[in-house]
Amino acid sequence: MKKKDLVTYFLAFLLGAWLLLPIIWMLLISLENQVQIFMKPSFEKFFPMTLDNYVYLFTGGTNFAKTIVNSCIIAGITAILAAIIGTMAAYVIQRVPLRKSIKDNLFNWIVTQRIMPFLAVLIPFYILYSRLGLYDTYYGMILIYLTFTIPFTVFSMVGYLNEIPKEVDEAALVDGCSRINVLFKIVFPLCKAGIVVSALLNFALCWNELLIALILTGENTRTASVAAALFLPSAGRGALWGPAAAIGIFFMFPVLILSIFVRKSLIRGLTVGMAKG
Amino acid sequence: MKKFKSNYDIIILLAPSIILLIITTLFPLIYCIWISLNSIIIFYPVPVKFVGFDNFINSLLNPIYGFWTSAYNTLIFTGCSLAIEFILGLGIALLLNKEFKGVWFLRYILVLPLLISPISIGLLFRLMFLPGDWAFVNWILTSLGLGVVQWLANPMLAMIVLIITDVWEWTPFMSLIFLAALQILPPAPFEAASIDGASSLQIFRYLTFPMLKEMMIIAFLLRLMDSLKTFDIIYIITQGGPGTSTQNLNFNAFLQAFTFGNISIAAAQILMLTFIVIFISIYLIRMVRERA
Repeated sequence: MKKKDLVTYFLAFLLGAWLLLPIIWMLLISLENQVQIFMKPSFEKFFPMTLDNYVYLFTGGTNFAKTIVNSCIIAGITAILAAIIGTMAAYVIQRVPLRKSIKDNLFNWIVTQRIMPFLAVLIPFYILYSRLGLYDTYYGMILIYLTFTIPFTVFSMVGYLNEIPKEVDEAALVDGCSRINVLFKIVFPLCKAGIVVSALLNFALCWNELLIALILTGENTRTASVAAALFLPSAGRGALWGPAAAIGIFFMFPVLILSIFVRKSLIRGLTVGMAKG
Repeated sequence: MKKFKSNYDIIILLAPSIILLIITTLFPLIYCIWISLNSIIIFYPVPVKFVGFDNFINSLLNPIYGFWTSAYNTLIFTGCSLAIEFILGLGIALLLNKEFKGVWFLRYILVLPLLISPISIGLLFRLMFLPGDWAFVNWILTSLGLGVVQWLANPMLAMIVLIITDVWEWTPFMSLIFLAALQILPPAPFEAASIDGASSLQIFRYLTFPMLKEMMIIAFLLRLMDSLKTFDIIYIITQGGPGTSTQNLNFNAFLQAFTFGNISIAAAQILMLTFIVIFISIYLIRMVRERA
């Protein structure tokens, strides 16, 4: 019995180290100066710590602050729009007695979005946007981000609505309320928590997005994720590992903070919500 | 009259989603097919020419477009990472399903890789595997008396780094799905089995495993769909290099389109990938449905 416990703790320790070591390592590197980075691990490598790399992010002439604002604008507006539009669709799919074939097709269609490689949409969008002048605009980015945030919202909200008793809104329907009124006056307030969570998750999805932002943003709307990739070594310039580590740490924060609020729902959204497909 | 009115409402509620989905997926997809049937090169003002299926045939036959190399890389990357994630994920789920001191902490930090942005994860592992004896992995190797390894300069090692990164990022996802499934299993059969004197290996083989089967296929399916189109970590860690050794189909199409400008070739390749992914998904979903 004792031996078995030891094995468990050993495995648990390994798991913890495996999960935390890379993060701790990056955090330490982000607090080093240009000389310390290239030293072997020792006391001098890690102390004294410095915030130079973080300062460099904002003063190094890369306009990083602006890219953060851009990310917030694009991700924020997308998240809110997707939460509202997606909940409306989820409500119909979950509650309205449509014919089963229609419902299934609708749901399948939405699921297919997840399956499709995004480049299949991105290539045509690139050509369209350069013709329509939507390249490097907030509207363009929000429009294309809605492509994957709406299906995600529908997914998680169908699961959420499932747990709100049907009787609540059926009573209102019988009393002569229209579907739209029921949705906005009764269902929306009831699943406020669910909507907020999916909006936050949508925000995280957009904040983390790289491929689309890489192609469709330019100087004006460059998002923070693209800016993060700019710190990688490129042809004309050596590595900026300190700032790169700082940006990596910095980039984690918004989403980690969100996670404290939505951890439980996130796990449910990732697992149970998807299992229903 | 009442029914008519509520139908109206339904249309109003669904309309925004459906219109947006048509604008953002159905229409681009058709446009993408059109692009793949024409010869379009961006960056150069070459006139658009209808070429039929030439782009598909060229992608398959001309090694310059890297279809088969990247298909092979995709297969290796997806195959290895999924297999490891599956086994490790199951192991971790079984470990964290036990009750011991501090298990809550592990369950808590298990979510971290899912929450950290893929860009940060790419940077994390790029930093771990830098050349030079000051980077973490090489430091460990040199302390053990082994030499410094140029991880990202060797085709096979670069692929291994990517697989390790993917395993770090997605094993928790598998574990969480399995853990959720484990925690809602009915306790009665397990108690009965242990009273009857079944070993824990037997319990796993004849009780846990069959009960988890459906969840396993779902988890596998979800990961497969995402894994085939991995982009972020490749872009951050190897940029497809050295040479073309870590380009997957998705990354190759990206390079074809936006680095070389062969946007039609890229469209053809990405459509083929789309068909592959949808075909596999439908097959696996059928399998789940038949079981259920």
